[in-house]
Amino acid sequence: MNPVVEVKNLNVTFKGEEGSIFAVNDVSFDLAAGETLALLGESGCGKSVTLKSLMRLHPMHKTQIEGQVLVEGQDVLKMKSKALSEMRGKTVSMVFQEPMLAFDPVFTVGDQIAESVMRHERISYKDARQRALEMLDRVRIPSAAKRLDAYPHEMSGGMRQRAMIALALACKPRVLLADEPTTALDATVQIQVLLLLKELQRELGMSMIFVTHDVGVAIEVADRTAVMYAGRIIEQGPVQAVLSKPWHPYTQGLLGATVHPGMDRNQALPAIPGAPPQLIRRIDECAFAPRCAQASSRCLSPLPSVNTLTPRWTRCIHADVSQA
Amino acid sequence: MFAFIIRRFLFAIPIALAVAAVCFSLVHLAPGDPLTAVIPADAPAEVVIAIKEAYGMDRPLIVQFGSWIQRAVQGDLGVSVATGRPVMGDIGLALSNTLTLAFASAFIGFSGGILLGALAAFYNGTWVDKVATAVAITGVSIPHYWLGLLLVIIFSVQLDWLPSMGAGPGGSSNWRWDWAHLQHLVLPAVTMCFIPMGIVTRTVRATVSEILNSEFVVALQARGLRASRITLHVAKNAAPTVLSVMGLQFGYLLGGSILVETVFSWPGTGYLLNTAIFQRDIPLLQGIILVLAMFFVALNLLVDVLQTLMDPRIKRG
Ligand SMILES: Nc1ncnc2c1ncn2[C@@H]1O[C@H](COP(=O)(O)OP(=O)(O)OP(=O)(O)O)[C@@H](O)[C@H]1O
Ligand code: SF4
Ligand SMILES: [Mg+2]
Repeated sequence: MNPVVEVKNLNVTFKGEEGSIFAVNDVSFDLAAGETLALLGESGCGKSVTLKSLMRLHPMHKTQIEGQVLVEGQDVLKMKSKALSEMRGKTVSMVFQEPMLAFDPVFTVGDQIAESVMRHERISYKDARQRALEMLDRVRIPSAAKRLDAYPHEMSGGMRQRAMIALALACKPRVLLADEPTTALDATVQIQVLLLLKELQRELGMSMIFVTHDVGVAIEVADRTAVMYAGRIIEQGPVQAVLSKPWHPYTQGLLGATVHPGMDRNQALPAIPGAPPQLIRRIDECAFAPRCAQASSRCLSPLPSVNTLTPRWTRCIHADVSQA
Repeated sequence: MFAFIIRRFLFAIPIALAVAAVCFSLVHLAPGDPLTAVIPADAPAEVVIAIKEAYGMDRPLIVQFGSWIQRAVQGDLGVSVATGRPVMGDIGLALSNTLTLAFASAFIGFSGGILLGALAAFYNGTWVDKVATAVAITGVSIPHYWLGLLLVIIFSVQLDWLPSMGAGPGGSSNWRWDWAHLQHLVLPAVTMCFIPMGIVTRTVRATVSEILNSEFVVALQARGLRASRITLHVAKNAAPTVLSVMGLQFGYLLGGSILVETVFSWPGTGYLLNTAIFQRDIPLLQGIILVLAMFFVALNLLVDVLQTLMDPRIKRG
């Protein structure tokens, strides 16, 4: 069966006045129907940029995107703006990290859901509101009928995130992009929202890309995982295999770090000294070398390309030798 | 909501009273006796006293203020020292002319400002933005009486396209929305529109570009919404801020047109105020200031209420 999403050699570069930022380099992965992929990695490694590329949501003029992003066989990067806006929210839909910032503050939650439904289906305002109500019920927002006319700021954080999920799922998308959907929530609410997402995913038969920096969450929700570092995927494979027996020294370090809820996202990982490199140039050697205990001189010359079509791979010369 | 409006209205009353007190006492703080203008220097003492009594000026200030307010509330602002006519009638006429001019300027200035500001924000950093910003800065920095004179020289004197004086046939009391009258409105309205246009441009540019940079606009795009729909979202978010600036600018247009009205002999409150000052016509002066100040207070009240109605985030408890 053809994958629902295929990303091939994706490069995203932001052109700024003070030079370019090479946010995503040569990223490839695919996603089968009904499958969940966890994108793992530290803050700033390019998870959100990768995700936004699936809907081409970057600032138009200053962004340079190369490669292919195929959604149901169509290249998103080549779509005309009409086709693009028809695909957004309908075929692929997104749950944002901070729902407070992702809702328009001056429209009611019910109207925003209804608006989205009316964009993609020939349906009256009344029916669209009815759909909004059903969706709020479905994500188990208490007294949903009353919440329909609430403004985003009148809801609690957990409720807002449920409403965001209701909005994202209102048009029954094929693919759901979830960008750290639980990071802003307390631990207990976090688990409830995760379980809800999993349940709705099964019901609707969606594929999902789940961005997180939390290894525990990745194991909970995903079938496969891709670990990112400095704009590249450095290890990819089935989530159990990768996280129980990581090949790449960075993934090993990531697991050694105890990630607990409420941890400062920008805090350095205790198990790995140092910080990720600046993305102000294209890094062709191993970007992790300055922090890697196993680094050798070979790591400082451009790394050989890896066969990303195998079920499990890693971008590390050392691991290549030991695992072969 | 209703309670909020009532409360906001009650808050406006002490402000209005304070404003009235200031404009009443201003005249009494000014040097010279207000009656010297009408009483001949060699008038006998008993005549002076009789005149003072007739105008109530022999009583304590606080009593004068009280009865002045009482009469003002009933629409009686006294009689002009210079013409002997009731002040209220003259002010009413002048006010309607000033409002006509202010509406015309506001219409040009606000639509121009919204257009330029929105363009500058959408094309942030490009030449469009630079041109719009330059126009805005020029607009607020040019002294408008100077601009008025320049326009008169070009369009009235040199080209002879538009009249430069008065409000058209019938003078101050016969305004009509036809070309014979409208052509008199063009130059003063254009002269006055530049400051509000500049300020509205700046406000719209800042507000809209901040909104365009916020995450929720990306989120709206992610829902597949059409550009026109996203524009609606942006406009609704920008409206409260832009509206309050426009309210304030409209207030300035009402009160700040003295020089422009004088340059174009436009028979409005500014022109009348100018006359009152030169003739030391105290009742007229007080009346104009009072009416303009009350307009300003009422305008602020209106903007506040509208802003609250439009922005659900403002607590209305
Ligand atoms: N619009 C943009 N313009 C310029 N640089 C950008 C833009 N968006 C992202 N970046 C940069 O790209 C890099 C990757 O950012 P990204 O948001 O993908 O990180 P992330 O992995 O999602 O991190 P986090 O966990 O903090 O969300 C960062 O260095 C960021 O500063
Ligand atoms: S390539 Fe070298 S530096 Fe990079 S992770 Fe592997 S061993 Fe470490
Ligand atoms: Mg992110």
